[in-house]
Amino acid sequence: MTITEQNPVRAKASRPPYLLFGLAVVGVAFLALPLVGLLARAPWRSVPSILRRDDVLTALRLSLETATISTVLALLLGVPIAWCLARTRFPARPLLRALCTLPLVLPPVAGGIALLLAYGRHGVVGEWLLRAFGVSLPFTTAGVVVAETFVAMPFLIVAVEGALRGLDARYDAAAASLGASRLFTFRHVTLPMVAPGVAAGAVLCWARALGEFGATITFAGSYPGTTQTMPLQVYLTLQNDPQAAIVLSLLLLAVSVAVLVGLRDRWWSR
Amino acid sequence: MTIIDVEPSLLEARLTVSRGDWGLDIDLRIAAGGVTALLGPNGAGKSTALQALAGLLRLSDGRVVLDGDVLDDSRSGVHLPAEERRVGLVFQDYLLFPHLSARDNVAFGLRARGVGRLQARETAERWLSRMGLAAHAARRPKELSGGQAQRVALARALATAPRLLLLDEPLAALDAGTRMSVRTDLRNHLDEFDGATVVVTHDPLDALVLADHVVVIENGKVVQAGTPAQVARQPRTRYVASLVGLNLLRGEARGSGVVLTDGTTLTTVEENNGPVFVVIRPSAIGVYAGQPHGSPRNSWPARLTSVEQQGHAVRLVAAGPPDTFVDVTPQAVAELGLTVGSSVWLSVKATDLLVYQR
Repeated sequence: MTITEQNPVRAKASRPPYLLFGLAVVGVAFLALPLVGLLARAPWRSVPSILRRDDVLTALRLSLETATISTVLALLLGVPIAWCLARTRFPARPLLRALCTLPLVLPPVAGGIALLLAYGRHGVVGEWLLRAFGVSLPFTTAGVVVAETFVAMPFLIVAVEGALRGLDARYDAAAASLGASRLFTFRHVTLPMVAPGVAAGAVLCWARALGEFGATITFAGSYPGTTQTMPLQVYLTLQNDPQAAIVLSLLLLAVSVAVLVGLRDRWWSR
Repeated sequence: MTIIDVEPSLLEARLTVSRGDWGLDIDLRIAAGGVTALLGPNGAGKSTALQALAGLLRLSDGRVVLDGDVLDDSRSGVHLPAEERRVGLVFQDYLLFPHLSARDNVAFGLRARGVGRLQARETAERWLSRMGLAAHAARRPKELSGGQAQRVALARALATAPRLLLLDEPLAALDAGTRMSVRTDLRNHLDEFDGATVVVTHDPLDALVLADHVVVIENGKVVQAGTPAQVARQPRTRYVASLVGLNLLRGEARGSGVVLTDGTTLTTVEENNGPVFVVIRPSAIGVYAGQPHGSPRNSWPARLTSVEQQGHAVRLVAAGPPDTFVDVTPQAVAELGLTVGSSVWLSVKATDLLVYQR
């Protein structure tokens, strides 16, 4: 075999080796078939009636509300974290980044347990919260928001930090030379310039919060009306009413597709 | 201590910035309305000086006083941050905020200092009108030409009424065609500005047109300072001489002769003594195929190491000693058959030598 590295032929680069091509086809099928299955087996006639059921609407409203509040919380806390990670230099920064992105790789159930140990009735912070303010987070709607924020905020942090790193920091110097304080610069220069990245991060964060299951059921349980979000309801409905579970899954799929369409400029066009 | 200044300085700065084995160490004094050009090759420390004046960089040592306010004083630890200085900065690539219109870019500094939205906008529009950009107020920076963006950046800096204006290579981002008109324009705006101005540039023409005082920096140190005419006429380093297109030779004057550092001797008209510079215009040097005779001339054999067309003249680089560059007409090149490697005789009249003390 001769290696012709000095003279690569461009035309061949567009056709992958047969083995890779075959595996890619299998992979695509693997990803696409479940969606096809969902669409093929969906009880289309009963969709309208199921979507009008009170328990479904309640779970849907709860999901949308908690995911939105979680996203707002994540924006409020996550954007400052991203700014610190992107713009400051301190020795513990890699550690801080690892800590803030840990929930990306941590199994959500483990996250839920950890939340219980921290913010539960006997948790490190939870016990004090209960004594001092009479506030108890587990098994409440607020608990759902806590669980969703914990799991989804890292998506926002990663997206916003990336956007901030892509921004020329000399704009800060330009603003400072015009007399702008750091906070004024952040609000009127930095934030508007990374707005697309923040928006993308917020959408990702919202979608992740909407689908959150493991941490939510562990930390907040599954009480209809207060903590039973859509994913929890889908799982429980599957036991006794598979048809309804399919319809609810379709609904979540529709939301996901809407998110992808919303992000198409950032991802599809590449 | 009594220092009698004819013109009181608006800006008095002694800037020392150390970075490893490199260091910047310069003094600047600029009167109100004065424009000083910092001229120097890349890496000379011009941009570092600008950043230090803007407050974006801490001084290792030194003191900056602007209009009576101490901005920096390393002894007492004073360091006013950039946002609290009355210093305007125009970046080489302008750095207009891309998400704001030209008007809002100019209004930015006023808004940042607490001026109301309406009043800031009115002031911004007035500045844009002065710059001849009233019709472009609503445009975003990417919809502006290079020259327009430059004027918006200037208006943005001036709108905050700075006492010191810093221009970093203000014409470098423009193409040759617009540079000329923008340069003249800029000169007019600087004439109207009553604060002190520092222009950083590596283009001698910018320095000559824009500034009334030139400070040449090489390797972090001031190597020459004076009016543009002085610097152009009597360069003190090879870098300055090549910038203004003159041959600069060093030597020891002994009566009507100068012994150059390379050992050759030139005959001069005036009598001098001690270390001197000898400046020769490239067009004053004659090129001959053989050794020339007659009148009080200096002549020496040389070999051409470069022959290049420059505008209407051809520039020859001739290895002596002494090493010089020579401007001749294309006809002379053809008649003498000059190419790289040609052996020629060079000659210059004693009256064409400018000699001054080192």
